[in-house]
Amino acid sequence: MGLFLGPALLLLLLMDILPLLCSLALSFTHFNPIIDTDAAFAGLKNYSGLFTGERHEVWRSFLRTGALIVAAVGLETVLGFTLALLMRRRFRGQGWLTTALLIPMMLSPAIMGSFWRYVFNTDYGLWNWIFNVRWSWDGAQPRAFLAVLLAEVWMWTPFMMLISLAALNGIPKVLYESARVDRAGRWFRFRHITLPLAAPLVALGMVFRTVDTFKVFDTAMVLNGNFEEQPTTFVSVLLHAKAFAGSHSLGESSALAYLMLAVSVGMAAATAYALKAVREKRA
Amino acid sequence: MPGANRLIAWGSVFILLVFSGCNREAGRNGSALYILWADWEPARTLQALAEEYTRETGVEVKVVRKSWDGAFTEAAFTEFRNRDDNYDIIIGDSQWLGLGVVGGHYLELTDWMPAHIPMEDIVPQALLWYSEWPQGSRRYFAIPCQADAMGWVYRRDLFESETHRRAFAGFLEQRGIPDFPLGVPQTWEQLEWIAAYFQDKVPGMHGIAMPTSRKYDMITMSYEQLLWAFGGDFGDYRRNRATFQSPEAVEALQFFNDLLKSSSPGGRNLGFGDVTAQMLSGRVAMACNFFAFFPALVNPATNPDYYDKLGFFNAPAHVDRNGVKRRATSLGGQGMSVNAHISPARQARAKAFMQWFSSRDIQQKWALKGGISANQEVLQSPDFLTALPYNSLFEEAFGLMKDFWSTPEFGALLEVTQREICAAIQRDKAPLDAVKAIQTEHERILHERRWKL
Repeated sequence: MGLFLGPALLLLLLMDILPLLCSLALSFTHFNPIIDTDAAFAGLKNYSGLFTGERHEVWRSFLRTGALIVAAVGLETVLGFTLALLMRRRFRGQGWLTTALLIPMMLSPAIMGSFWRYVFNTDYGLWNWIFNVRWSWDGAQPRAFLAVLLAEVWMWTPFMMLISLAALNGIPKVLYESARVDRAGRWFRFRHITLPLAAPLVALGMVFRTVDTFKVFDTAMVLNGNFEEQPTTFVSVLLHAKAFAGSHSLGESSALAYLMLAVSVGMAAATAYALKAVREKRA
Repeated sequence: MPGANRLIAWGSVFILLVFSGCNREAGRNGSALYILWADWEPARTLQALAEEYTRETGVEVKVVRKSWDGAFTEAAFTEFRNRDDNYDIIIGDSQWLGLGVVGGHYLELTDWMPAHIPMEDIVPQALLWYSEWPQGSRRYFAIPCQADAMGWVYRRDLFESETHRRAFAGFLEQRGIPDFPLGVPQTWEQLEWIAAYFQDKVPGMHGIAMPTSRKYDMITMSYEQLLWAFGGDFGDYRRNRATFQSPEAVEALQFFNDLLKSSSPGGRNLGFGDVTAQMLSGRVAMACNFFAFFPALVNPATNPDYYDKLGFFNAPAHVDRNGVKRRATSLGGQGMSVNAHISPARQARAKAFMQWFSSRDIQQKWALKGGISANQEVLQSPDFLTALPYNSLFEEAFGLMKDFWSTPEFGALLEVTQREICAAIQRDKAPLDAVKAIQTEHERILHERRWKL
């Protein structure tokens, strides 16, 4: 048994733990690997720089990411739950429709981003053509944020639909039958049976989506590049831009990575808490 | 059975370790010469030309092409970052010279070049911008490969149409602009009015298309022509001092913003390829791009409708309030450098190819196939001058060329410049604020530099 665990542990050590420690060390240095042969010790400057930079780019990227999380997860939940309510009923072609609705979720975000880039092209894009407008959806234009939001919602609404469908199917039918016997109306049944009983699992789905949206990178990168200070410069995009574009400052980007790690750990704790809550509710 | 399981486990690990390195080893130790370049026509031309070298020497040459949209810089910088030896020759942008030298990625060729390359045949400006770093030091790290500059293409058929000429004269009169004929613009102001005419008066047409994307150096390359023509500059390159903030820089940025009113709705975020595509569509009167992108425009196979209806010109001038006339164009093109991280045997093989490539005959073939040579004799040869409709412009273009910073921090300097110009052009940031931000950050970046030669 120990022998079989060995390669896995070795890989974990080489691919995860070691780079993590290296990046921790790097976060205390000034290091541009393209022109520097050695890293120069910088103390806590990279960490303090994250919060005191003149342009507040880090704060702004967190705010942008937060705005995306609220808007995307909110829309995905509402749309996904609505779709699940519709899909719960039996009708002809339900299986085909369910499969079709799940397709966006199965596509690679990079491929999906390329597809949306054509949809949002200012000069010959589908959106501008259908609505007969001349909107710019990229570059420094604020609408670039909306482009990423729409692409994310399109891609991940099916996930929320799936989770919601599972939650709805898990509600015992006997509760609805009893409510009907008591002459409870549709709204009453939805408000007092469907919503409270589906909520724990839907909330869990929202937590997953929140964690996932926090890391959003590929969609934004493909749609609008990895540049600093754009409406699509989310935290992961900023991290990539700092490390691999412009100044190639690995120290600064490593410090930002650790800040992200702290937030991610917080989110993981929230997920664990949500899971526990769901289990208790179910019990 | 436990024995069999153990065998499978160790076997898997062994296979994983062995095969994970296979591809790279083939690249490193094989007999082929690997050249990294951008994915564009000159690279395909070089690959075709190199077949002759393979026939002569038996050395296979592989030109590895990566997209201008980021993959090219990413591949080169990953090579630099890892001090890797995947490529024998790197055809890097002129702006990379500083980081290639200071980072120790480019092999110094100061002693080798005069002995093996016909230095006296090369245009002096090409040596200055593509080979020498720091400029003026007489230290060489590359041979000129693809000389290039930004130029303009226009729809000659429209410019020569009597209907448009009359309508243009009426357009100028209507707006109270001093009359000038519809033709190759002599000044940026004339170019702006011609663009405005096509934008406003010709249905379905746009006035201009220029690279304006945030990607790589695109919008900076377009703007800097105006900056220099208006009398501004980025800085004193030899003393590493930023001198960007000036009324001229602000005026040039404001002019650039106004000029783009005559572009398509997406004209404020176009890449090099998008500019070509707009010209191919026949819906743009004038377009600015690097000459190396023009072959697709004059090729009947790729531009069947307009390939013979195009004219070309170099960047126009600007006359300032004191009557001083200035013209400049953005330097493009790349030098060919030997990767310093490869073995001495591979370095010798790379140098042999570069020596072959620089010879007069091969330079002539290179130029006739569509490459742009820095060899003076080739540039002046009748064959070259008549091979493509824009070839006669190069001699003048060499005299107008200027470049962005090529210090090791060029990436950080460029990122700031791209960001602020894009903010001014795409998001209506006040030009003065954008110029101030560039100056402040350029000063900081240059002040914080830690390298020494």
